[in-house]
Order: sequence, then structure tokens, then C-alpha cells
Amino acid sequence: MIAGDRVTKERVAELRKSWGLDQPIYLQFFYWFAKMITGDFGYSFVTQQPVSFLIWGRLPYTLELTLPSLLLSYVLGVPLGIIAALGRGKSRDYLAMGVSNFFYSMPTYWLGLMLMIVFGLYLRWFPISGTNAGLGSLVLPILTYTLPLIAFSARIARTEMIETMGEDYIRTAWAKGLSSARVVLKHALRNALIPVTVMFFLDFPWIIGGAVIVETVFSWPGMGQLLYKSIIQLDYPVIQAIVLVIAILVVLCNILGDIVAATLDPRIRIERASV
Amino acid sequence: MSTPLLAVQGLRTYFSMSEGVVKAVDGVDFNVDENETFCVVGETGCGKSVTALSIMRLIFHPGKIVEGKVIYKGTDLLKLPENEMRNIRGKEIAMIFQNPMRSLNPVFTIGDQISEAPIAHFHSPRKEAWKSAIELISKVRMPDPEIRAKSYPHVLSGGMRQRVMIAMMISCEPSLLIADEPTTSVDVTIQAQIMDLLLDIKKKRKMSMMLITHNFGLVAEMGDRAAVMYCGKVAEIGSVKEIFREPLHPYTRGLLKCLPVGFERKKELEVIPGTLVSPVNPPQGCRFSPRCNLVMGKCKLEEPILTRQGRDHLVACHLYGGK
Amino acid sequence: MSTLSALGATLLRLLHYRTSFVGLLVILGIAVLAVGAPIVAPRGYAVTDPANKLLPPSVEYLFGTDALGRDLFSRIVYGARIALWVGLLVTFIEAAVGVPLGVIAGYYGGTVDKVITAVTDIVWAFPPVVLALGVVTVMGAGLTQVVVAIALTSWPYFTRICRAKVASFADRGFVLAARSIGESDSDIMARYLLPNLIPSIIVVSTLTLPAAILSTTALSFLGFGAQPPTPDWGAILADGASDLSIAPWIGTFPGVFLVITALGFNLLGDGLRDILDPKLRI
Repeated sequence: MIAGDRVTKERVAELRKSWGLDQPIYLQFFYWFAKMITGDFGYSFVTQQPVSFLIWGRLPYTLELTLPSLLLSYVLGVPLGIIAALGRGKSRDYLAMGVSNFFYSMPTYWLGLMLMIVFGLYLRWFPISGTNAGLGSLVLPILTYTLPLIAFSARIARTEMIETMGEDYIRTAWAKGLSSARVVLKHALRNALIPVTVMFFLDFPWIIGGAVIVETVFSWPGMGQLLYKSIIQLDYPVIQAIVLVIAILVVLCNILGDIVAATLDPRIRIERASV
Repeated sequence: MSTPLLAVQGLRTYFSMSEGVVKAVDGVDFNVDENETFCVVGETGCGKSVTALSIMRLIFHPGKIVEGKVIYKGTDLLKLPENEMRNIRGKEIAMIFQNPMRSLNPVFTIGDQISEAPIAHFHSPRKEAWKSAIELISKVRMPDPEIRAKSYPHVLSGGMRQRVMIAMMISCEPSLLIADEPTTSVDVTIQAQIMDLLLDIKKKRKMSMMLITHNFGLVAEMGDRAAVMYCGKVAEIGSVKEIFREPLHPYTRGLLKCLPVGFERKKELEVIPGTLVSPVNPPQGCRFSPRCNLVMGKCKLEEPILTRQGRDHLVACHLYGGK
Repeated sequence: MSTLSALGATLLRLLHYRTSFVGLLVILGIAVLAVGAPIVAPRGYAVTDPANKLLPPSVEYLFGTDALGRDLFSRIVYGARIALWVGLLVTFIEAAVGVPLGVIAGYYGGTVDKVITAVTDIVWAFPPVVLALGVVTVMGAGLTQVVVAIALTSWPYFTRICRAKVASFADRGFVLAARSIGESDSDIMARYLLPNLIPSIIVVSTLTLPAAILSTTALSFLGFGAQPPTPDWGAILADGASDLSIAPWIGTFPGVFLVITALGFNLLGDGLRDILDPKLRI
């Protein structure tokens, strides 16, 4: 199947030997694992290139897209959510949440297509595919990523802020006669932002997943597009490697999230005995 | 008789809920004098906490103080602009709340939280405020004040947290301390300690205390004067001595009879039959009438108002010609 | 309170939440389209007519035609069926997997809890698209595979909520009381704990359903889900992507319907949450 239709039996046996497929299954797994640890992901079935080379080459492109999007969406979304929470029930809350709901309910790939149509085809401001135009070609993909994410982080920030403002210790702060600025910015925000910040770290692997779609729509040469192509071509070594990389990323981000949570929230740190 | 420290007149606080307008406080009058312990007693839901929060103007949407005067040292607090009211909160009038477990901010140290009010109100420099905080921690009878000041609320037990609350709220030497059921959520043994502490502080600082409770035992022990509230209104008010000696309102009588005094075995405990009326649609006339064993025809038609029955004893009941 | 009267009461309260009520109407509208597709759609979704390909919207072809001359409007109407059906199926599987796991974890605590939580955390953190693609690689492409794949990535929503709630109930009086009279664990979980979870389950379902629809259509968009000529909205959008410059309507209208549908559920879910379980963090 991989080596072409009109291949001879000998050729198949040769290939099987070179890939170690003639070994018992547990040995195969062992070799695979050992290779993974040392960074040797094997060779792509399709291009015969080392998989690690392929991944390294594409990783920067994906990061170029995902990191700014994540940062931007939180920087813009969190204040939006907080403003909505503080003006709860009033028009700015409805407005912010309405817009947010709209983008939250939107399929990312469709947003990409719409942006392409409006800005790429009609207005011709930005290119619709590839990386040729330098910074310009980053705009549409990043926008496609960021808008739904802003909605997401705004929702979380709003929920957490509303929850925090209803806590008893906020009432205590008011009772002390502190100014609204102090109560909101010092007491409330410091608490509400803890889960929000942790979400930031936990969101990152999820973004990588979204990369598959955005990169495919915009023909962006990143890891997402590589994964997509590999699945179509059944290029197993590449698929395995990418999934593994993502899995490691998930674990790392989880650990990072836990560390951040412990740093920000004294309740989670290891403490001395209670009084 | 000197002017009272705090005079509440005709206070009404309503909450607009989806079920209707809840009239949590519906016409409350009382005075708190200097240097006295004034108790507000009643069942859960009678509006005692809302009264306290209204005095502090800590009523938020969907609640609103719709009518009344709260005159503190000659000024009507309800008419003050917000920034001036802030000067009153924590500095002149302070309040400690019922649930100490959740009333402290988990991410700031104890010392930080105790020094906050003096820093905000008096602009004390941080170092001084921190030192005062440590002093206050020892004043509320907590061991190892320097270490305590650096710890976080979650390592403390309920009783300890309540002490921290007290320390926080007396840090600016207020003239009136409102204590909303300060011992309800703590152990009985700790209860005694906390009340003892409060009494001590009150004496030493010549502070007035408004104690909100449903525990008549505390009222008897600590109160100089008391108001019995029912369904958002004051049923009976006066000196504790007079109220206990001769409870006038049927509700007060019922409450006092409910106390299991005397430990008479094989005798059923007394109860007041029925439950609270709906705060959304209170019945016409006296609110206690559905449960009153001395109810008259008049009670269902007209609401009684407070009338003087003794030197320091008022009651709102038609039995005593209240109209 | 009987189920019917509870339902009625909830709907009545929903009237107060205007946006959520609008959401409900939108969903009902889409449902009507889906159910009445054979009546509403002027033509079948697979009827090709190469002579009339790539026509812009007109009175005859309301949303225009695609590269094979198929009526886009009809395809979209039939696509509503797929969208709703897939959404319901995925959400059902997620709940069927997630709720029991959450209840068991919250009820028993200890090692059982730790194991379930660990698995839940991993699945929850893993990007759903990648996980789904992994499943598709192994099981091949197709709508059924995609449904299973997406369901397997999102059940943690249910597990977490149920676990938290059950854990808070587990040391309350009625559980201990039931145990003391000899009720079995599974009885307690089914008869006492589960009914208390139903409001939350309803809210979570309403809010994860749109995500399920969006995810499955995403996979169809990539070509791994519905196979031609199935008029899955995502698949239609994939057609639209390839003909974007010459026939932008193909890439526009399915997406509009997706947004409207998802928005409807999200608005409804927000309102339901405020009514049924305001403390829900989702």
C-alpha cells in the first residue's frame, strides 16, 4: 500500500525489515519508545525525511500564529469580561456578552473563510494564504484565532469576577470603608484572576489543536497542516510524533498551570499546621 | 437623657426579586445610646441583618433602602454622598459578620488585612500600621502575634478568624460596633470566649455595640437594651430588664417560653405554631396575627404601632392600645 | 414536583430572560426545518444539475448552487437534520459516559476518585480536534466515527460537574441516612444523587451541544467526517472553501446557519443556567 501497487513480494519484505515490522510486537513498541525518548522519531513514510526535522521546521510557524493569538486574546478578553462583570445587568454587560456569544458560537474555519472573503478578496487588504507577505500574511490567521478566543476568555473572566464580587470577604472590604477602586482592584481582581491565569496555561494545548483547522484554511505551513496532510496520506510516523509532542505539551502545560496556581493562591501551597 | 448615638427612624429596605418585592425591613425605629449594648433579636428572616446592612449602607442590587433616616451623631447617613459614607464605614461604625470562614480574603496575610483600614482612613505609614496590627492581634487574645500577622486566613480556625475580624474592625476605634450573629457559626466554648472578648473591648474603648442575635441567652447576659423584630418590623423594644421581667408582645412571650428553662422532664417544649408570613405579600394588619394566641378582630385589619408602656418599654400590639 | 410541571415552571421563568427565550425560538425554528426538510426543501440534497452549477442566489435557487449544480438551500435544510441529530447524539454519549464516572468518583472518593480524575484531566486538557483526528486515523473517516471521536473528548465536562456536586452531597445527611438503613451504593447514587444532578446536567448539555456541532462540522470540513454527498454543514463549507473566489455564497450560508444554531443553544443555556444552577462554572 505504501510502496506502490506494483511492488514485488521481496520489496515488501525488504521494507518491512528496514522498518522493523518483522520483529515481535513488544520489541517494536520498545524500539519505538526508546527512539522517541532520544528524539528520533523515525522517518516519514511519504517524504523519507526524518520526522523530527519536519516537525522542527514547522514548529516556529505554528508558534508564530498561536502565541500572539493567545496573548492577545487574554489581554483583550479579560478586561472585557471584567468590565462586563462590573456593569452586570447593564447595557455594557449585554453588549459585551452579546458580541462575545456571537464569536463563541462561530466555527473558526468559517470565520477564516469570511475574513478571507471580506478582507482578502473584496478589500484586498491581506493575502489569503501562505506566508509570503511577511507580517501582512499573519493578520488574517491571527484574527481568525483571536476573535473566538477573546470571547472565551471574556466569558471566563466575567464569570469569575461576578463570583468573586459576591464573596463574603468583599463585603468585609466594603465594610471597612475602602474605596471602590481598592475593593475591586485589590481584593476582587487578585482573587478572580487566579483561575483565569491558570486557564491561560491550560488553554495552550487546545490552541495547538485549533491550529489544524486554521493552518489548513490559510495554507499556513505549520504543524497543524502537517498533521492534516499526514492523516490523509496515512504517514504514521509523523502522526505518532505530532500526537506525542502534543501529549508532552499537555502534561507540561498542566504542570505549569499547577505551579502558577500554587504561586498565586496561598491556600494551595504547602502550609504549616493549622492553629 | 442625652441624644442617642444612633437613631433609626422609619427604615424601609426592599428587595426586587422575580417573585415580587420582598419587604425585608418595613418600618423600623430604634435608638442606640453611647456606651451601651443594644440587642436586636428575632427569628431568621425577620430582617435583623438587613437592618444592620442598611445602617452601613451596604445594600446592593436588587435591594434598596426606600425610606427612612439613620441619624448618627446628628447626621443622616442615608443622605450622605458615597465618599463621605466611606469615611463612616470602618472608622465610625464597624460591622463584624456571621460567617468568619468566608469573610477574610484568602490571598492576603492577616497583618495586611488588619492594617488595611487604618492605612485607608488615617493614611498611617505601613510599618506603623503593621505594628498596630500585631498589637491588635494580641489584644484579641491570639497567641504569637508576630507569626500570626504573616500567616494567611486559611490556616486559622473559625474562632480565630472571628477574632481577626474583630481586630480588623476595631482597628480604627469606631464608636459603634455592629456584631451580626458573631458566634452562631463557632463552637459553644469559643462562643463564650468571643463574647467575653467583645464585652471587654467595649468596656475598654467605651464603644457602643449593636448585637444581632437569635439567642436570648446572650441578650440576657450582655444586653442593656433590646429590640424584638418580627417580619421586618419592631414588635417590642426596651431595656432588657423590663422586657425579661414583663414581656408584653405575644411574640416575645412565645419566644421566652420556648426557652427550655428549668429542665422539667416529660414536659413538651413550647413552640410558636405556624411559620413566618411571606415577605412578599404580608397579610393585612398585624403580621404576627396568624400565629398569635391572643389575636383579636382588630389585629387582622390594622397594623399596630409602637406605644410606650413603661419607662423604657415600647410595644406594637393592639392588646395595649397600639394604633 | 412532577416533571411536567417542573418543565412548565422553567419555561415560564425563561420568559423573563429575553435572550434565552429568543435562543429557544431559534432552536425550535431550526428543529422545524430539520424535521420538515422534505417539505421545506424544494429539491433533494443530492440532486445534481451540472448545467446550473455555481449560480448565485436567486428566487429559484434561494442560496444559489454549488459546483455540481445542487441547490444549496435544500442541502442546508437537510444539513439541519444532521447537525441536530449529531449534536444530540454526541451530547448523549458524553453524558452517558461522563455522568456515571463523575458520580462514582464523587461518591467513593479515595483511589477511585484519583484515578478517574487523572484520566478526566488528561482527556480534558487534550485538544479535542487532535484526539478526534487520532480516532479517525485508526477508525477511518465517516460521520459515525467523528461522532464517537468528539464524544470521547468532551465527556470530562460532565464528569467534573457531577463529581463536584456529588462530593458536596456525599457527606450530607440524606446519604448517611440512606446508608444506615441499608440502601446499596448504586441505589443511593441512582435514586438520591442523580435526580439532584439533573438540573446541572440539563444546563451542561445545552451548553456542550453547540460545541459538539461545531467540532463535528470542523472535522467534516477537513474531510474526515461526513462523506459526500451528505450535506453536513461543515462538508458544504469545505466545498465552499475550494470555490471561495468564484462562489462565495457556498462558503457563507452554511456558516450563518451554524452560527445561528450554536448561538441559539448558547443563549438558551445561559438562561437555563441562571434559572437552574447559577453557581455552575462553565
